[in-house]
This record gives sequence, structure tokens and C-alpha cells, in this order.
Amino acid sequence: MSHPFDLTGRTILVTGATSGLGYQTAVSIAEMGGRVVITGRREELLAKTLSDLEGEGHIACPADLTSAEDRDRLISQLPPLNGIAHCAGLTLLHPFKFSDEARFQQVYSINVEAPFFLTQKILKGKLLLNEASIVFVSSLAPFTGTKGHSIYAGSKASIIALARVLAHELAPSRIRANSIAPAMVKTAVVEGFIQQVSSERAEADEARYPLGYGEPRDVANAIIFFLSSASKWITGSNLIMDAGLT
Amino acid sequence: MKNPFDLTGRTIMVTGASGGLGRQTAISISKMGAKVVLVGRREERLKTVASELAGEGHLSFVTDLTNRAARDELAAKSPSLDGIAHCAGKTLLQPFKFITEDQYEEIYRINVQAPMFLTQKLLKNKLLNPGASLVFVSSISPITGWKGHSIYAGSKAAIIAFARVLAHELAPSRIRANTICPAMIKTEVVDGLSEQMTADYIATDAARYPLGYGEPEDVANAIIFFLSGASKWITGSNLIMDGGLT
Repeated sequence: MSHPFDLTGRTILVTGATSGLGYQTAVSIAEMGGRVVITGRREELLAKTLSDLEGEGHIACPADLTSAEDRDRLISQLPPLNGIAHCAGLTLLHPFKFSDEARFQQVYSINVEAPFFLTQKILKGKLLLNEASIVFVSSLAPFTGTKGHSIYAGSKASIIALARVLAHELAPSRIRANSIAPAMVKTAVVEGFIQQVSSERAEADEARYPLGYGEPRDVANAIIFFLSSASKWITGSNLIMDAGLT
Repeated sequence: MKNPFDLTGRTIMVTGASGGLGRQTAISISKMGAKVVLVGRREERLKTVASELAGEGHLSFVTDLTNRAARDELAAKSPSLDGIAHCAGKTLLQPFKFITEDQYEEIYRINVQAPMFLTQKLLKNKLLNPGASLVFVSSISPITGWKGHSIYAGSKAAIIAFARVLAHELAPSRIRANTICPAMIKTEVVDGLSEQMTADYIATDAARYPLGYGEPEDVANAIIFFLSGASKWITGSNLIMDGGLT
């Protein structure tokens, strides 16, 4: 049965598809009938993602999106796209006093520059079809101002702003741009964070969430909503997903 | 394949089902497999909507939600619900200088009191199943502060705040509450504003929207997202849908 959330016949680029949110997003999009082009740095993990995808015709293109050369190489392999799920990103938890420019550049290079210039190149290459949908995975961090997020929160705020500008610039082609702002989701990165702090602290943190931490599929499903024609009138919006935390 | 947006096996109440947005919401929800409990004032319109639903087992209640006795009767006869789409509402376009307390009371009664106390009665009668989802149709109006919306904008802001409180109060039962904030939908123009606005005005206004005015289906699909398991981690959120206007 056809329904407005179906992605059959659509080709979607998923960045950061080697793990976590990107992995689940690629798997969920394929389950909804979409054809997925996955990219990520770690070739073996990318091959694993590819083998987990339902359906046929998916493509894996390993690339380090912080490298302009890699971005160009990726673009030379891309088919025309109906959407992009920008899932690649890096979290950094570090007190402001001890942050340095190298860390700043590292985080901004993957969280801001990479989606920014990848999207621009895709547009210049006319690889984004009319009515395509771009989804940026931002974060709740810009809204909560959590300690240690001085670099990360700003990088994620920047991507919400980019989505809003793109919404206006690309509306004549009916290309949409939206962002989602999830709070804590149980990915490998978060498991790492839980190990970094004590598990007691992690439990206390999760208890602040009326519905607990999220699952990668929660984020994937919101991305599917924004990629599908069910959201065809929504552009320049940002969806907070935080289980009632804020 | 399991579709996370599917509503099969869920019973959803749709208020304002004899109006434009409610009608489309009921139809779209039924197509996603849900049993629909239609609620509206106009019997003939409600019958027509009932005949347009896909599937079987739907119910209709001719009810004026501003009437407490009628509301209580509905909340006594309703089956157990997995969700409510609060679509009933009234728009008022009137300069602040000329509004009256009667108009204020009329708008707040249908836009705020009715959804608030209907929800309360259903909760007290234990008719909201664990995991149920409440969706309130608010408006972009509280955000834009349009001329002539002094009463309407406040009523729609109240419902956003109410949903956020409910999100926290009902989280222990994993009942979720969210709002959507649509800007101008074509049905509203058809349903009333065309009496107050010239065709020229409407054309000029629609041109301010990067993607034009919305369609009832757009609102219905966002409601489906919030009713379905795809949004099971999202509560207390508010989704702006405005074709890029703001």
C-alpha cells in the first residue's frame, strides 16, 4: 500500500553511515523503500552497513568529508538525489577554559564545513533533484547550553541556521531543508560518554528525561518524515526531540 | 515490512472532524489503518466524512465540545483511545481595538477550554491507553503576531504551553503530547477567511510563503507522524510548518 511516508523510488545520500545514527538512518530508509548512497570514513564498517540494507541498488562510497578532495571524489560517484541525511558529526565534551583552536577546527570541520560544502557541491553538480529534501542532524545542545559543549553547541546551532537559509534559497526548486535537534540517544558515542563519566552519573542524567534516552531509530524515523512527501510543506523548521527534557 | 508510521490497531479520536483540517486528518488516519472516532458539531458533514473513511469500525459523535454536558457524555461513551487529534478550533480576525469579551470567551472556549477539559475527562475515565499520543493543532500565529490575531494567537499559544505541561505530567504512562503550528492552509481560506480577504490580498499573502500555502494533507501527515510509533521519543515538542514563511 502506498502511503505518504514511503520512500520507494527515492535516492538518499546518508553521511556518517558507518555507525550510530547514520547507520540506523540508512537501514531505516532502505526499509521504507528508499535507495541509499552511504558514505563514511571507515571502509569496513561502511561495507557492513551496506550488507545490512534491505532491497537493492544501494551504493557505498567511502569518504572523509572533512577533505575537499574526498568530497569531490564522492560527488563524482553520486547519482541524482532526492534527499540528503547529514548524519556525520562529532561530539566534544570539554570545559570552555581548556578548549583550544585545534579542537574548535576539528569539530567545526566535520559538523559545519563538511555538510556546508558537500551540499554546495551537490547543488553545483545539479545532483539534487527538484523537491529534494535535506535533513541536518543538529542537537539539543544549542538550546540547553550544557557544560562542556562550548564548541559542540555552536557547531550544531550553525547547522540549524544553515538549514533555514537553504530553505529560503532553494524554495524556487521546491528543495526543502530542515533540521532535527535530538537530545541524548543511545549510540556507541553515548555508550562511550557513559563510560567516560560514571554510570551513576549517566543514570542520574537519563532520569531527567521523562521518557528516558532515545534510540537511534527514533532519530531515523524523524529523518524519514522530513525526507518523505508527508512533510512537503515543511521547510526551514527545526524539530526538537528530547523526550520532554526541555 | 513493518512501517513505523502505520496506525493499524490504534483508535484515534479526531475533533473538529466536520471541518477542513479535521476531515482530512480523519481520512488520512483511516488510510494508515486506524479506527477513527469522529467528533464534530455538524451532523450532516460528519456523516459525509464517515462515508469517506477507509476501513471499518469507525465511530461518530455529534458533539458541541464547548458544551460541558456534551463533552462529558462523549468522554463517557468513547472507546479506549491510542491518541487524540485536537483539530477543533476557531479563527478570529479582528483588530484589537474592536474585540469584545464575548468574542474572547467564544474563542478561548473552543480553542483552549474544550481540548483541555475533554482530555481531562478522558484521562479521568481511564480512556487513554499507555503509550497514547495527543496532538494539538496550534498555529504559527503566536509566533508571527499577525494583526487582528490578538485573541486567536493567545488561545493557540495557550495550547502549546498546555501540551508541554501534559508531556511532563503524563510521561509516567508514556502518554505523549505535542503540538503542530501550521501557517495558512488552503482550507482556512476556503472555510472563512475569504469572506474577510479579497482574492488579491490572498494572492499577495500566499506569495510571501516560499512554498505557498499548505494543504490539509500536509497537516494530516504531520499529525500521523506524531500519533505513530515513529515519534515515540518525542513529547512536549512543537513543530512549525509554514512553507518557509518564518
